[in-house]
Amino acid sequence: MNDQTHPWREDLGPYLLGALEADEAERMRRHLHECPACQAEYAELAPVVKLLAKVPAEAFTAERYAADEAPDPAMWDRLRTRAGLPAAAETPSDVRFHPAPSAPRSSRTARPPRSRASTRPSRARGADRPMRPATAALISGVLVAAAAFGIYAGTRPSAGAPEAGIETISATNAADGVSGSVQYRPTDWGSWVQITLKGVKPGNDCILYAEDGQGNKSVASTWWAPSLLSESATIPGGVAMQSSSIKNFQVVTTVGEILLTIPAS
Amino acid sequence: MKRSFGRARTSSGAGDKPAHADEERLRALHDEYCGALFGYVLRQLHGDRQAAEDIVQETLLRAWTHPEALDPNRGSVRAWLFAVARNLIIDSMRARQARPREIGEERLGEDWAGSVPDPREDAYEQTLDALQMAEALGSLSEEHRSVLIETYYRGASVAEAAKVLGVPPGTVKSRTYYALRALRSAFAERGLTR
Repeated sequence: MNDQTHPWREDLGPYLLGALEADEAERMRRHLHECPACQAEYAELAPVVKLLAKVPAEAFTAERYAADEAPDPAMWDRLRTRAGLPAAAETPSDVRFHPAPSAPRSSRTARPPRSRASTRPSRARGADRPMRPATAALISGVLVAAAAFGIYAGTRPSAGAPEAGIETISATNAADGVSGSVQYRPTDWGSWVQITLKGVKPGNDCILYAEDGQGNKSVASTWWAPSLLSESATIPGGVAMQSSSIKNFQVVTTVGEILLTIPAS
Repeated sequence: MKRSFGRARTSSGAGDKPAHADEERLRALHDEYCGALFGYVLRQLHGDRQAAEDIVQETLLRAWTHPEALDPNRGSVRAWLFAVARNLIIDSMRARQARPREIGEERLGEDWAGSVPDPREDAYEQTLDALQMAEALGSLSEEHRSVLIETYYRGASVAEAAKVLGVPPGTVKSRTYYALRALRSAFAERGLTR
């Protein structure tokens, strides 16, 4: 069939898209009944129109949204955390949990870092067992950081510099019932950190971040929440950041939920 | 390798690190599309803000980890993002219907892991779908794409589209027809229609 000589062909486009006026559409419909060429054309193009629906119309319309339909201003922070920024960009997906590095020894402390073996071994998941794939993918970058730290601390086991005392800070998130405190002190590799946390929902995988005033964020430790809501967990860790430049600590789940922010004194 | 933790970064303070480039890319995506995506998803989910945020984050992260989707030469970024968000909305609605509330995460992980298909495979396919759709739209000429956007997505009549696009109504008609034909070829190349 020749395009130029069949006058109905071009009406088929707007007809399929619903753009014809009612009377034109009615004429097209009647013509379709009696024209096999147009019927064939219709059969070919109708599925195409159907596929257009995969993209929602809102992609092309300037919808007006009310103020209470705007995203939460803190969403950027959560998105950033979820993206693993800046602590994770290349993420091998098969990294597994390594035992947390032990706290460096201090020679003079009035209050030595308590190293009661903090994490609960009764957890169903063993230390060398792969995690759930989704979780592993999300936090594998974090684990690279944790593993790297473990190697570093392992090769220089007594590198902790005891020059300064331990800072203890704490905070409570009344809304979620999470509370905790962080102890930290400077070492010559960065800062030794230990967090004690209570009220985290079982099943959550947590990350402790240390943040400085310039927006740099480093992972200080990662762990599984205790299997009972009432249990508190004490987790040792460390961060390659000077204690004096730490502005706050933040506990975040691996799905990006911020559990607690603890400002440094 | 390129990671240096806090110390080096604070001393250099420069914004030229790859990690910073990654962050800027995500920031740009967030700033440009977050508001529109969130409004759209929130309405689809009848005001469930937390679920909406989750879906918008996931959408932006997928775009961030699929930089090829963001090449403006290969399609409409906005179309891609909205198509991905739409897929995620559909998934989340299905998941809510399919999953009894009272079963805890722990049990789901242990007992169901073997019987439930790997959700990543599904997500990958859906991402591809959306990507192909956006690419197909993006592969059209500007004239063809704009006439489809006006008539189909914005619901304009031939006369209204003619006004917006500044062409005679007859041209709008023929363009919509040829645009659909071009789109059909684009879909066929990507295996979306038989």
